[in-house]
Amino acid sequence: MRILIRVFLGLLLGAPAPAQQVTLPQEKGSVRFAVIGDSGTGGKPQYETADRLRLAHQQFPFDFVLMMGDNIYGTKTPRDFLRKFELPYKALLDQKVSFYASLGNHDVAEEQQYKPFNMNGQRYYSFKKGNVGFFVLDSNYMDPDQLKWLTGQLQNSNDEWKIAFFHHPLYSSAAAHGSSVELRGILEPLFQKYGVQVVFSGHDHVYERMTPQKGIFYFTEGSSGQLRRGDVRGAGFTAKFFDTDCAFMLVEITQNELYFQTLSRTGETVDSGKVTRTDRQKEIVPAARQPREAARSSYRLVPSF
Amino acid sequence: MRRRAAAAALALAAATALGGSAELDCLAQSEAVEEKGPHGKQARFREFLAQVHEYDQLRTAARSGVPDAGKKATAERLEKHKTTLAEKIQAARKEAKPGDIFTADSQRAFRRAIEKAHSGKSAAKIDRTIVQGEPVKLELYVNKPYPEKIPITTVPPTLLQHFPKLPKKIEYRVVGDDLVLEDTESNLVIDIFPGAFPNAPPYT
Repeated sequence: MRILIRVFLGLLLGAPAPAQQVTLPQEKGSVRFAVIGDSGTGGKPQYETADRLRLAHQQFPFDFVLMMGDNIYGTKTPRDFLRKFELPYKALLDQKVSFYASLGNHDVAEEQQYKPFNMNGQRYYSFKKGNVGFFVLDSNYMDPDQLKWLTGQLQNSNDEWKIAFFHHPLYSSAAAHGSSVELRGILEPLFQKYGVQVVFSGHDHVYERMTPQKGIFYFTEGSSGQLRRGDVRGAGFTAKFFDTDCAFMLVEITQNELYFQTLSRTGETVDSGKVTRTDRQKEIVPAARQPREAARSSYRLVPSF
Repeated sequence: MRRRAAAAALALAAATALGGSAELDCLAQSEAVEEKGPHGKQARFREFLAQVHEYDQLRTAARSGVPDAGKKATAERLEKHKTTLAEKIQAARKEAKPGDIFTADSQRAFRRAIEKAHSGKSAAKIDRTIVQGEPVKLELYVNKPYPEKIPITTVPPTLLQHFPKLPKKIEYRVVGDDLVLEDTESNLVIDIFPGAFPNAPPYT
């Protein structure tokens, strides 16, 4: 009853309804983060989704946020950085939540040097959090240098979890853009060979989770700032999608499990589940020290919706 | 020359290490082969690369006196750096016109590279990449800014394998059916090769 009253009052006052329960396990020592994509519109949907993210952070205190690109739409004046990033995520920034950005087709190179995006002046870069290695790519411009860099990074990584993220989805059934097939032909063999387990992208303004493709879990989260309502057509590889409201993801990684929960702007859980590393995957060692076949891995997805 | 050979060897080594990726192997090996010899990629684009190098030197000179934004800058510092640098470059290249860098010879070399990239199985994928990157037709001008409001088109990776490597913060752009060279630090259009993609996919 008390909750209903709060919801009613919240709606009445224009404040967001209380967030739905975050169901992630919050195990000690886990790596916790959020995923947002195509966020930087400066519009009402971005602010409302950002506020929902803030509420989720109260229940699930993630340390950082992955940005799938299109971080700042339109002009790029200091006022735009303020209106399209610093203000909507102020509460998180104030709590020292870090943001790690990738570049989308609406972004400009100077964002690489923008301190809050943590790109350190690089178009593509990597970072580590606990047992997780993150590989951040510039899918606008996949030149030979970037591919060589990625190969080297993956070869030398001994992280238990390897996660890549970038703007253009390798798999997407959305009508607006769809799968980046050329990029897939180049990146997926690398991901397979070096044991990348999970890939996050944006570009299509919807949420879509794919069935594992060649052992890799792909997620598109491009609806954190604007929505292309009803854009998902669904394909053989579509496991779950949500295209009726803006959304963001919460992710928790333990030694052997990756848990995810996708929340809408209104706080509804629209998808959740976990990816489990199998015994084979646990044995992964840097590719330079192992036979080729051993680098491949398999996973189990346990959906909980 | 030695550096070029080393780059080729590195590409070949990367391809060998990749093993499972036939497509990537092919790309890397072709790059390694392409780099070599008097008729290799670097040689075919010698004139273009010399012009680009000249621009890069001009930009380096223009940077002097411009406050460096650093790797962890505020939006204000980034804006200041970009606009000040752009003003200095624009002043130094007052007479710049289309074709200064994409000379007739260079255009021929690029046209061949584009045809070659389109001759294989990748042709459809290249066009699809361009379409998915929200292609646009813009009226761009040399030595003027690329409009920030307009998205950049994804440059197909296969094309980048066939094009010569550029200095940092200079990138190719596909704009409508034109090939554009952009300085991503100052956001200026360096040069335009109109009609480089005569069979470009439809743009919005």
